[in-house]
Amino acid sequence: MTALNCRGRSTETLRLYGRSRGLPAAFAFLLLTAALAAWAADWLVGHPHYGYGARVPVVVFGPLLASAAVGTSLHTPSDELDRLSVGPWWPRRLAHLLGLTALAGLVLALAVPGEPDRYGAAAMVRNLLGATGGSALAAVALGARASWLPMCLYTGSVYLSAPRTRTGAATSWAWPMQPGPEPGAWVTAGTLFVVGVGLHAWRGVRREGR
Amino acid sequence: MRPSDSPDHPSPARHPHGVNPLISELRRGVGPWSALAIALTMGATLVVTADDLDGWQSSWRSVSEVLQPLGLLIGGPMSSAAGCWHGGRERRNRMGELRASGARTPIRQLLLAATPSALWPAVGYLVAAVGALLACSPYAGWGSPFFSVIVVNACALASLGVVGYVIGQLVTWRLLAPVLAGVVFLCLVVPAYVGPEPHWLNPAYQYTPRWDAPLWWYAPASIAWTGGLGTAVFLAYAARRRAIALIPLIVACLAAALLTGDDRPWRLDPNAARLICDDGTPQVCVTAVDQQLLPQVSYALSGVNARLSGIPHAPRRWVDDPGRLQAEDARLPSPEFHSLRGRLREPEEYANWAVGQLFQECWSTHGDGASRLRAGWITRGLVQWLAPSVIFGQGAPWPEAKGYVARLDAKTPAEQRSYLVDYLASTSTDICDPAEVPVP
Repeated sequence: MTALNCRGRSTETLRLYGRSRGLPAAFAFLLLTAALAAWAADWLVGHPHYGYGARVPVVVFGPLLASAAVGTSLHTPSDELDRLSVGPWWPRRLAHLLGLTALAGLVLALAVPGEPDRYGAAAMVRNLLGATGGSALAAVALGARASWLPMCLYTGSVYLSAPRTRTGAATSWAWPMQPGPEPGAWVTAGTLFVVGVGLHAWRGVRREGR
Repeated sequence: MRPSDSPDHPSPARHPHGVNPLISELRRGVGPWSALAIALTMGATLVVTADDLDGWQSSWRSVSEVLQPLGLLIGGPMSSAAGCWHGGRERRNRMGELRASGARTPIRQLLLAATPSALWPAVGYLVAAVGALLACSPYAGWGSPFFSVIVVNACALASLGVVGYVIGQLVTWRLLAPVLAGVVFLCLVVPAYVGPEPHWLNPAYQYTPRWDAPLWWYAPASIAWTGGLGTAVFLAYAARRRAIALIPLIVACLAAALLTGDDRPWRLDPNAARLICDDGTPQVCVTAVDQQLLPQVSYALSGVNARLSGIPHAPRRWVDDPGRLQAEDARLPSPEFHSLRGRLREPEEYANWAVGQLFQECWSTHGDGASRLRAGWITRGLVQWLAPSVIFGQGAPWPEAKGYVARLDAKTPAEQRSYLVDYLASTSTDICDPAEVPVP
């Protein structure tokens, strides 16, 4: 009986946690983003004009939108209460971010089937990791509401300025525009993700005014 | 001493220059940061792309060509998101209730509140645009920047900011700002993906005005189009009588009809397309927009011209405008596309490209396979001999063409000249037969 109560209470806690962070809307948004990405990728690949880089816009901006949903879901409506809690918060923050990223990575990777080294699932997952890490970093520094902004500006700028050659330092700084397995791009995106997730788990998001 | 004149309660008459509410609105909130973000992001993108093949510092035209999509694709989403943020913040702070108690009418108060959302993104764009123009000015040469296009872009950004502000006031959703930014980006980008026709209604449409200039009504019509839409959205939200929003909407629709009508808003500018020639033989003629590059182009082609000079069927002029080629003119590759910051990028490759264009017509169309192939190798060898390219044969060995280059090099000047006479005679007939192309 007690165990049942406990389980019932923990489910209730999870449900409350999810609702307070707007997770149902974030889930729905991630699925919608993936569906939109799948449709756009299919349309672009089928179009005769766009050859090798047909899926670039999808692989660059799909993860960006998903990371905006993940980043803005990191807000807490009861910051002071949370800080009074007895248990440590970092495992919950970690689980929240990793869980949402895993879900987003799964649905987005499914949106670009075939040719993983040519703006396919690999690039999608890499860009999602980088964008989520960047958004988490921004959430720690600026607050969850503005967490999407720095990545948006950076990605927009890189999209318009990335060099056409895919060698050298450009693979590192223009990582969202690389077709797939380039090590430099993975190192940058991975570092962003690890640092972002780590800092968020450690510090939590910055308190925001109204 | 009047009762209100105590040190704690100075009378308003003593401070006639109190803080203007507009200044105070402009200084606070997300506005200045959005301007800074737009200016810095545009600046960084411009710096990174400055050394690209089509470097934007080459001419006034190339800089305005790059400022338009860059400003709108970076500034547009940012402007609408910042407006949305600002509007949402006013809603969260329940400014509406405070306004209801104010003495001024709601529309005047909202106008004041929305001004930063319109003004700051435009300021950010203008700062970046002025920086780009200054960076371009030492190399730009002929003409002047299209200031009207810059104003059009700034107006589009201001309108997007106002629309974002209204949406932020109306909708409660944490993800609204990034989603709005994404939607604006898609609306600006998708028309470019869907079709090649000009989209004069899309403020981010990148027009490549090689020799074109906007007509006088392009800027007013574009401003009426984007500004009218922004004003209509604002009035529909803020005005007491909403029907008044129909007036700017009708203005916007009229402007849209004008922009999409049969009259193209950009036309050929005869001054820009004017030919400027040197006095060599063959003459080298560039258009006025590239006139500062003429000495370098002449120098790059001097070796070729020395060999072609006086030979029958050799071109009389090199001309950079396919629309005005006469019978004895050869097409000159556009110097602007081969230059960076006022210098021809690689003069040898430029000359090689020009000679390649001169001879390409014969061996690629008529005749049977074997003779066409042979004529192709001969032509490649001849082009390389006339204007040597560093990258000749890189990637493909081309032993036949290299053999022809060696044979041409081994000849005496008189033999070389007579071969050129024969070659040009064989390729200058109306229907060029590859079998007739002489072997060096």
